[in-house]
Amino acid sequence: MFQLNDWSGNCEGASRRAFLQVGSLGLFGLTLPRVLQAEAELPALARRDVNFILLWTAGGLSNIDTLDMKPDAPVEYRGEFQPIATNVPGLSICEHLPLMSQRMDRVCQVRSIVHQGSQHAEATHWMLTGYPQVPDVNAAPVGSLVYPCFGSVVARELGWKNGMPPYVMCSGSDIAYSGGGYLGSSYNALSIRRDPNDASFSVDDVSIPEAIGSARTERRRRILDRFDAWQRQVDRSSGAVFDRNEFYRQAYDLVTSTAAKEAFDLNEESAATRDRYGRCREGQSTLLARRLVEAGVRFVTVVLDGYDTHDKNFTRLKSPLLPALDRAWSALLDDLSERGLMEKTVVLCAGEFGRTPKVNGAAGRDHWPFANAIGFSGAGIRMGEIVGRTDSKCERVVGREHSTLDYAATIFRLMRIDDSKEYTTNDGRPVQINGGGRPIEDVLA
Amino acid sequence: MRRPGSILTDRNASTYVHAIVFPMGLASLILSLVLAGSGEANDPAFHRINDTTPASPSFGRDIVPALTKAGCNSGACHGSFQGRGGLQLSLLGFDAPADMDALTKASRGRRINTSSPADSLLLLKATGAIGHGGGRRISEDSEVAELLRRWLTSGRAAPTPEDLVGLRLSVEPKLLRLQSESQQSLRVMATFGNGESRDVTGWALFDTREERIAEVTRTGTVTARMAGRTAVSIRYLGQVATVDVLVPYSGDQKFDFAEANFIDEIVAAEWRTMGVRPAPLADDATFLRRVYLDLIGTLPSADEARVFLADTAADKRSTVVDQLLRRPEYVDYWSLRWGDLLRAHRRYLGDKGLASYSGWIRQSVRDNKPIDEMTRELLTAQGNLFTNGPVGYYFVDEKVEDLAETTAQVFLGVRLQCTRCHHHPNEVWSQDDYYGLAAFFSRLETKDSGLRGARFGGPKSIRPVAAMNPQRKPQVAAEPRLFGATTVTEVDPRQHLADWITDRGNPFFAKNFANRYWAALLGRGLVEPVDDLRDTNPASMPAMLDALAKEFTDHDCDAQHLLRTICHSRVYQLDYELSPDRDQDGQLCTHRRLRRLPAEVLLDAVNQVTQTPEVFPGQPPGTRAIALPDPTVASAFLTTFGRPQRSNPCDCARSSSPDLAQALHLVNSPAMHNKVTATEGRLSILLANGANDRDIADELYLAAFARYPTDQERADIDQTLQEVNPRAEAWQDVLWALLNTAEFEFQH
Repeated sequence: MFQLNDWSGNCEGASRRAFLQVGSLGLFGLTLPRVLQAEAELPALARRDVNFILLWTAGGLSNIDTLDMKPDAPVEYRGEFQPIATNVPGLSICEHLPLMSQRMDRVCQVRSIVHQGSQHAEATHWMLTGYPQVPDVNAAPVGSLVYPCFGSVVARELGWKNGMPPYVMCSGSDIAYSGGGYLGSSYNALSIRRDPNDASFSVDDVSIPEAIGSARTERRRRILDRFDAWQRQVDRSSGAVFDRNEFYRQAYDLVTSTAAKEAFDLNEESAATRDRYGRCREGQSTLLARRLVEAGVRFVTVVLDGYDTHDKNFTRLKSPLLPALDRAWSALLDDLSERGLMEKTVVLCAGEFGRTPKVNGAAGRDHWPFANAIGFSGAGIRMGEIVGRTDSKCERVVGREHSTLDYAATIFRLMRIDDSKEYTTNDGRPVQINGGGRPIEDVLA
Repeated sequence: MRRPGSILTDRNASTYVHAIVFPMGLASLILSLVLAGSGEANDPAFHRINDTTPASPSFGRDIVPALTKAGCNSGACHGSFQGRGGLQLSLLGFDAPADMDALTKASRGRRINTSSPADSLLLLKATGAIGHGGGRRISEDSEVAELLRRWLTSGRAAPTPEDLVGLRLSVEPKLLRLQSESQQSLRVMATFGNGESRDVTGWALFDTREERIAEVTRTGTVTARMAGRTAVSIRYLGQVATVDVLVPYSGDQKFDFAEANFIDEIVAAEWRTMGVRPAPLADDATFLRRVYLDLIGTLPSADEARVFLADTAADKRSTVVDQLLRRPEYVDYWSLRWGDLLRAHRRYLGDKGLASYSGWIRQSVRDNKPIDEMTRELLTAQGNLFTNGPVGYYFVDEKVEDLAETTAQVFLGVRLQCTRCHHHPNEVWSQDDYYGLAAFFSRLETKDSGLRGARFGGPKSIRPVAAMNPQRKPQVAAEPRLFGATTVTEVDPRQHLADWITDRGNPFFAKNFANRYWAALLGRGLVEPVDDLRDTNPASMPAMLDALAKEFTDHDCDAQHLLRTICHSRVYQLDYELSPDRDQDGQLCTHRRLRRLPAEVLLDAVNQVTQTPEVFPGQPPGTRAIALPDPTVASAFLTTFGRPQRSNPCDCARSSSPDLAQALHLVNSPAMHNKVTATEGRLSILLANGANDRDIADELYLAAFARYPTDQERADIDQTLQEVNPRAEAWQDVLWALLNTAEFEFQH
């Protein structure tokens, strides 16, 4: 379709092509080889594979009750919980996160991200893609582009590794805008819907059904190879058939691979480890995420559900929400550290928005996109920091705000993805992976 | 890793504009210089071309094109909705008076230095003499700079309404035939209402549709890159023009082609022009499976295939087309497609309303109601939804702006979405046109009891009212007015709108539906995307689209006639084989394009071959997927394979892209295994009846592919039967394998 560089290129005006064409042109001593060299001079770590585990507090974790407490605020704001000291001097967090309180030196907390999505679906789009969205009451987008979420961009840019799909999501329910958006379903997550805490846990369509068995699956694959004469004939001429066959190959590899089978099998873990993460869906999903990352998955989203606490906020946070989060999150950080995986894994605990600072009539808190608290850990992160500040009632960010595109740029920087790259939407519009966000430098080590 | 753009950028020096950040600093300056270095000798942003620069430039005719060429008012810079760095210009200069104000009055006129005009901020920023977020856009000795300088020093003439009156654009040559790697320059002339004519080649914006086929420079030089067809669009001061670019394949292709109708004549002429050769005619089996899937979304049964293959009548292909158009599945399948287009969904209509709206769609398809009549019924609908189906159109979209967009996209194949906020960047449509169209839907009054009410019979109705309903006022005040025409004053202006849309002279209506039906059968529209008809997105074979549109209107907008005509053509019946002398790009229909079966059709096909009917929640047993009322009927299979949610009218809402979940589902789901092994299924029954291996093979191949197995395939089956015991299990694996081949999943 049209390459509308004149009006849709970036402000610098130069397309990538123009840039490459004049690679040898000396300007202020900066030439293209020099640019590339600058990249090559980055520390070795920068080029190593980095994986991502997103602990998604779906519904919107109450920031004022957990990571950004305001004990001096009036009682109708500060709520019922008491702060406790952490191992970061000057930082207190919620009494119901005792395990995390001793691990805040391994978290970079960001309180400066602000967006304008006050409903779940649109807010999820802001926080999973970086871009705004205007959904209707059914969460369907109205006329505007649906962007690919971070995991889908990672899938597109980095692809499969060790026979494992690049993007997996553990969630009992559907999360809006957690897929490939305009990139298409090819970049959707492999979805794990069943509860990994169930004794009979298996992955739909990935675990071989007992009725078939692996011997028969292998056999069928051999038989199928015999009947693909047509496929071989058109494979080279039809992109559609070629792509389809690639997914078939991957599907087969995944279904029949021993490594994948083991990665999904939590029984390989000791009972002590499983206990440490917590014997619940959240805990075991988080443990599964670690196993998947080890096996080659690049981006795992673990959905921790139930944070939409419009009523009984305190009761529900006190049990079961915060204890489960505390256990899973802290166990993940410990486990990754012990296994030497912190240097190549980013952990992010985030949700679509914060919650209203003022407690409502049902002892709940409502949606609040104007302040939020999220936590980064792991590879490339300046851990033990707090970036951004909110006012005394946790209503607004004070000082420098960051947009969700900045937050997205931070994630892409951590994942070593060039987010200035352009994709083409199916109506032919060129769109950058990230439309102008800049990484939050204070998060980066 | 640091991107080139951020290396020299001081991170404190960024300015925030809503959520979008842009770097201010040296990096952008450097990139602009890089661009300058690569610019062409006659680019007016960087080089003076001659001294015809007017002594006192006109804002509308000289300054706006200059700002446009330098990129100042592009969407990524000051033309953005929020502006940039405090300066907001209209996108591509469509609103000259506003731009004049922005440059001379906004920010207390700081951009103009009245005592020393040549030192105005406007010029200093653009030339990069002082810091500019967008970097150095023009060089100081360029024609653009000279124009700005003269305008500043000559009293800053304001735009006048006469500036652009009667502006016409012409481009020479109108058609480019280029050999690969050869070049040709375009010449763009603008003629103004007062007869003044100018060469504006340096000032126009050029874009190519397929960069792989031909590239175009900033100053209109086209370079052919590979064989194929594309178009270069030219934009200047809100006017657009298009130049077709033909890059023929090498060599003269000689071929004989027995033309069956006008489609074949026109397409064969295109092939000869482009130096390509068509594939042979598809064999009977391929044709049969194809035409069943295309016309009724259903596989031929094994018996139907058997009879057709054995039939020796010369006209058996035409006969089967006529038979299919009378099948009940024809109604299911085309109602599904119309349901997608018109977004029949209970989220808008409620259960009862959906039944009424869908019922009207089905009845219209069944009666082969002329499409202009359907259009008119929808657009002028009034009364109660429960007794008058087309009223649903006014509940699927309720806001007048949405109704305008949907109406343009569905019936005209025109995407107006851009013009909700600004002049269409690739077309002549303006915001006035947009809100003029929206206003047609303002003199209406609705009664809506909501979805719960609709379920239980509460009213959902619409009626015309004498004056604009304040609740249906367009966001920008407007009176009903058609593109460029005068205001409509009738009480219910929708009648006028329906007349205009369905008029034989309407340049879009017939082309839109001709193109949609062509795309449905050939797998690709003559215009692609199918709902994006505009001058700057010309058809791959313009003569074909014109002829098909004429056929459509000449036959009273008869959809079945169109389908029949296309299916009877030889072009439709070609094989899919893609050898080097075909059009590799797939725009010229030299061969059949392969495509995956749509979700509903694929599920029905699996069920038909295995003889295991699906049971959908809340639907009568035996309901086929193509006959489901709307996408709320749960089905993991259909969701996985991209059933559209009917939330927008775009043809692109239906996904046919392959993905891992689909492959996993076919390869490894218990559901597929159960279908293959079902005791009531086709295979079990054949085995139970004692059929021999040869007959089972024939039956399965005919059911799945409408053909008999080849010798090689029979040998492969024999080998499998020898290897695997028991025999039933071996056959299950064979059937499973057949369903998992690309040959099954694709239409060819």
